[in-house]
Amino acid sequence: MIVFLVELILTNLIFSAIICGASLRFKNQAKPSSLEFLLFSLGLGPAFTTLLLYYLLLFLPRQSTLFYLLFVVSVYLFLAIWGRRQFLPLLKDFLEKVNEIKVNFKRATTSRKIETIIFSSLLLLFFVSFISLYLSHTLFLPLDGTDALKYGTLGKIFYSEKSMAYRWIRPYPKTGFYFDMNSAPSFSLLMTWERILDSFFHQEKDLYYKSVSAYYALLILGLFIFWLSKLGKYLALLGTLALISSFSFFQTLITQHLDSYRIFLLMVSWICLAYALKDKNFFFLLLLGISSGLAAFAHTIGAILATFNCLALLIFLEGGLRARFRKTALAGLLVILFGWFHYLLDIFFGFGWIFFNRTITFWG
Amino acid sequence: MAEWLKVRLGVFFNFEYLGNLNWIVIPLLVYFLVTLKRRKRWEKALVFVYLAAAAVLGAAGHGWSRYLLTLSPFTLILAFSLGWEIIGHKSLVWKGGISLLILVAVAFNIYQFRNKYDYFWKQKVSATEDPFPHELLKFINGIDDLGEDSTVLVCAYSFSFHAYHYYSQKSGLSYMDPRMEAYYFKRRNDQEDLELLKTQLHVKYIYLDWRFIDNDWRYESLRQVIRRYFDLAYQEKEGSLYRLREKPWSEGDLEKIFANDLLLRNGSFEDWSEGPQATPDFFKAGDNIAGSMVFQEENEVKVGKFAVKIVGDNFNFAQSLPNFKELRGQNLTMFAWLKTKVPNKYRLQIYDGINSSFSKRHSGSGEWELLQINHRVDPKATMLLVRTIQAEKTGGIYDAVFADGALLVKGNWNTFYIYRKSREEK
Repeated sequence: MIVFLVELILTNLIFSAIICGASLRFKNQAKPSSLEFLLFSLGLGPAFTTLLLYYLLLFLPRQSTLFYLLFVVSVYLFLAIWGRRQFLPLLKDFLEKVNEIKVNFKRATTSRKIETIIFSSLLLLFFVSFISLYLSHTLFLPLDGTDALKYGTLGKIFYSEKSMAYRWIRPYPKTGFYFDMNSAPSFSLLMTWERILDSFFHQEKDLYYKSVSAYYALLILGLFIFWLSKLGKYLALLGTLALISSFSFFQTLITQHLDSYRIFLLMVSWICLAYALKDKNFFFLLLLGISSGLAAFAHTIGAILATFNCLALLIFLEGGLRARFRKTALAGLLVILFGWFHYLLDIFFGFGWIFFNRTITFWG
Repeated sequence: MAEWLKVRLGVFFNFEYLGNLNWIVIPLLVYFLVTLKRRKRWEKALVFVYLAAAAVLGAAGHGWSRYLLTLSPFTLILAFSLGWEIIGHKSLVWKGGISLLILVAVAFNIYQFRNKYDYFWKQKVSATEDPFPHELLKFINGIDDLGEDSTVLVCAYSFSFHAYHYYSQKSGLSYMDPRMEAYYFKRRNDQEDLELLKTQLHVKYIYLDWRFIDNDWRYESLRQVIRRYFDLAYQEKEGSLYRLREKPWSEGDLEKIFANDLLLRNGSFEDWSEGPQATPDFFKAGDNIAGSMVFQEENEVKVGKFAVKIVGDNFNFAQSLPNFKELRGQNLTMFAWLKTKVPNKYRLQIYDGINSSFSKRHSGSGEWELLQINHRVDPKATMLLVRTIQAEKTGGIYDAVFADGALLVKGNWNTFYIYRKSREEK
């Protein structure tokens, strides 16, 4: 459990905060607030880590576990140093927000105070009961979803072979594992990352991998509440009830699957699309490319919808056609770099996703 | 029409999985289009990608709920934002009324699909319904006669297939492996089939899921080989593990087991020392069976001269084994023939005071069906109760069932052969 918490805090919180800090260097005066951006970023740490691992295992295969760990940590260290001046303002923003809430609460009338207490208690009650049930029961049940098992097995193979080649070798010669999936291996690489970290604690578990679905489902809820609460807090509460009452979303909270992971990244890409068009800011153009790429790297649906994001950018950007093409090309390039690269590789050298269908017994 | 709505327009109309509020976005999108002129570029862009995504999911998502879920949070944000734009400036009564309608819709949705929530809750939170074959996978990992020159043929779909590869440390050969293709389609004799499996594919064990057996005609040759040349090594929940037999069973082996080592007494219901209106010797009827509900049966008989007939509902008809301590930690196999016209009501059960194992239920075909259980007696077993008939409570107090030829033997026996045979005899 302690190792799991270390992995969770390192990957989901520390790495995400570093990405947030580094990205904020480009922000200037653009919206959203640093805190809103921190909320988006909380899902980017794990996704970006898997992308780093992907390129490492692809171009520098069969190195030691320590090499991969040090490489990933070095990248984050570099980003942390690069964005070091952003962390203090981010913390300041956070403390200011907390202070603002305190002041507003003190100034409010008694009835408003009671209302705020009831509202916050409802959210807190939901969150605390979910977390306590999840940590005491659900997290420790065996991994049993078809997709989660499939992606997880592939993640274990990447770890044991220290190579991406096995994404394209079917069946896997050592165990006969036979798989058919078109999606990029981001979700699988979360398992690989967990195994890399586990190896330094002499453990072999899948708690972190299993927690991904619930973590991202909570982030989706966070985004959902954040956006709707701009219109009204009761509207946000009502919306949250509507979302949780849909069975498929309820499932993402308690099963182990990649749905919430890919959906969150897609939602972030759309928020960035909105800001990129609204603020006409380079910062969001950059983020649109990165988040769309990561959404593509998570799942094929993301890969298709990332191309729509670029198309929407081209159609709805202001300015002349040449400027629009230039900006769209930049975003497109980032989409390729942060995820679509895998599909290009797959189309031309791999299973032939979309255009062909090949069975490959040796690759690389 | 309903199916088309669920598949092509599933993003909005798949109430079962996505809730019953997503469709509201359709009139609100019409409202958006009507007011398009005053919309900002970013709003238009978001609606554009949303509609494009909905079109792709409708056209190529096959109505799969997981794919349709992609847009669900965004659909609700869109619906609530546009809805708020319309009613935001209205009176509190308006807002309250609409909020109430939404709450009713949410409550109705949860109520309508409560069984789904309940099932997942039991599986994922309270863990009272655990479909996971823990012991079987432990058993596979503990096998010590699987070397580099031998493998397990994995014949299982989706969950079972991937669970094998995720949790086992043994090598497996997938039923989807291209080397298996020739095996499925080219019919040879059983001996050639066996040789192909043994010498070319080096299969020593077969991991089999029940759904796999029943679903596909292509695997008939595989079924034949399992029947003739493999023994059941372990069975749990939906999964069975078969091991290639070292040498064929001789009649002497079978005779030894079936003539001398039977654990259940009076399993063919031939002895009725208290008369034909009482329970047969060594068997006890549960609380819900009055004496007048148990009959000695002379016409519907599968083995010997008599069978037992019971009329009633919600009962157990069982024999308690006094020597249960000797059987602690051992594997047992039980067979019994049952005949009834009532579907899915009757099955067999072994209970050792700690764990229970059940057979499949009788299909209600009106024919004799051979049901079977494999049970590992817990090392701390406090009893051994062999329920030759366990009848569910269905309200059918006049439902009748016949039982005959009940056997209980040590070890794990090849259920597959007998199960299939009983189906083919129909």
